[in-house]
Amino acid sequence: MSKDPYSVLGVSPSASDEEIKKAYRELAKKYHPDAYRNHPLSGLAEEKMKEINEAYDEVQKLRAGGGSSRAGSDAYSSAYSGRSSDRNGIYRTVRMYIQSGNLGGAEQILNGIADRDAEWYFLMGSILYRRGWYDDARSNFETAASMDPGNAEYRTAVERMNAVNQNAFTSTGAGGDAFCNLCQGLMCVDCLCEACGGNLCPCIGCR
Amino acid sequence: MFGYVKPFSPDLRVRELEGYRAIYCGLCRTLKKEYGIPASLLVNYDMTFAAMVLTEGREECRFSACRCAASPFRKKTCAVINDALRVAAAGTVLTAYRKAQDDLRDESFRKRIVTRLAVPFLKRWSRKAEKRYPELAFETERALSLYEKLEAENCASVDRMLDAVGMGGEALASYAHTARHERAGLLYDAARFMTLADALDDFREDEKRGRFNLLRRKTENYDDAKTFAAGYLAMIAENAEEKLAALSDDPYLPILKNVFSLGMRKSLLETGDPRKKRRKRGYPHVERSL
Repeated sequence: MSKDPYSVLGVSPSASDEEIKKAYRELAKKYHPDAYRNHPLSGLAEEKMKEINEAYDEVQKLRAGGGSSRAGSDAYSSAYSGRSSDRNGIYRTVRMYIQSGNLGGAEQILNGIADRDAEWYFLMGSILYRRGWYDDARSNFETAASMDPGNAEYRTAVERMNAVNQNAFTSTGAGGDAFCNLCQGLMCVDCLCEACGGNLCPCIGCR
Repeated sequence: MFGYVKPFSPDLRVRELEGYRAIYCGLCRTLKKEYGIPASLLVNYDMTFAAMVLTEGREECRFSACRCAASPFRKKTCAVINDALRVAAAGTVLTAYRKAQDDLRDESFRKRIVTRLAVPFLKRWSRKAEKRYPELAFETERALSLYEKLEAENCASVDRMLDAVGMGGEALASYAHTARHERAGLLYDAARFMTLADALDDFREDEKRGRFNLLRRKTENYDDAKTFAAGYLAMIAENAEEKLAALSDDPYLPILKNVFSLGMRKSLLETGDPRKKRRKRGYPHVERSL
């Protein structure tokens, strides 16, 4: 496809995933072949629909990060690759994008960076986590933590994921634990009581 | 389609359980009214969940008492047909047809006979649904064919494959008017969980027959697969709370919370040995061993 997929969909390359999806849906509705059945424009609508689909696929591919080579990311990679002073600025932008919810934009910038350091993997992990891709997010966090074991932020991210995973097996409250706590509490109170000469839970021998 | 996304009923209040049952009946009734009596056999828990997610505001949910073939003598509380139920009904027939096509391709001979008989009906219904909700049909088809494509390509990322199915679930929310983003998120998560639980359920059989299984991408061992699925679910459940908070005006909110915090976990614990399926009772958070 020769056209820029973003312009076909009528959105800017920095638009959020949500906006792109919305634009795509609106166009798809407009040009859906069903609306043009037995209509002189049906051929044109079909062609347009095909174009939109291709553009959407292209954008999805770009944003999913499957080795993109298109204009936007090329510009990023040529402008930003290498120099570490620039690197921090870029990462700050990426962080800002992530915080404002523009995951697609953040991912596009990251994909433009060729040599990947720990911070890159951490930020990529954050994007994936926000998107709900927990498995890939975890492996990115782990890579970040292993590349830079001293960094507390990376370690915390891995630990947090592990903690939630642990939750899958242990109780999240109530049930057996509550009873256990109750028994422990009673035992403690009883000991304290007995220490002062009283008796909260009299045993058989005490009666 | 599979019945993994459902609430853990002992933890519901009586009126909540009645509301849930009413929407189940409502979905069945919608299928009957819009696609004919045999279509009501397709009613399932997953789409009941979708109908709950799509029900917006309290005024949308009204109930009536009605009889049906399953309960001819006692009248049951039944949700009055609304837009949410119509969308869910369309989703039901579309996914059922799609699943039937899949089954024809890779199920056992005996199962294929039954499916073969049902396919003409399913086809007609799904054409009807397609006409009413072209966008939904389009997105469902798109999502599931993407999944198949990834399967054929041997995609290494479980997340990416689940994402494909999730997009199909998400499409249902495009008919919502309020909090569309959050509703889409919940349906996305539910669809992903469903796929994961189904993969776990079929893990051993797929191994025997040498069929594709999503969880095989992670591990060859059944217990490890279950651990992985449980961990993934824990992530989904933890992140669902944020989305649920946006639906504060919805009548079914407590049930939705129950589905994410307990119901899904219970479904996951039940998967595996079919003989144990019925016997396993009790609170999912009390059962420690997975």
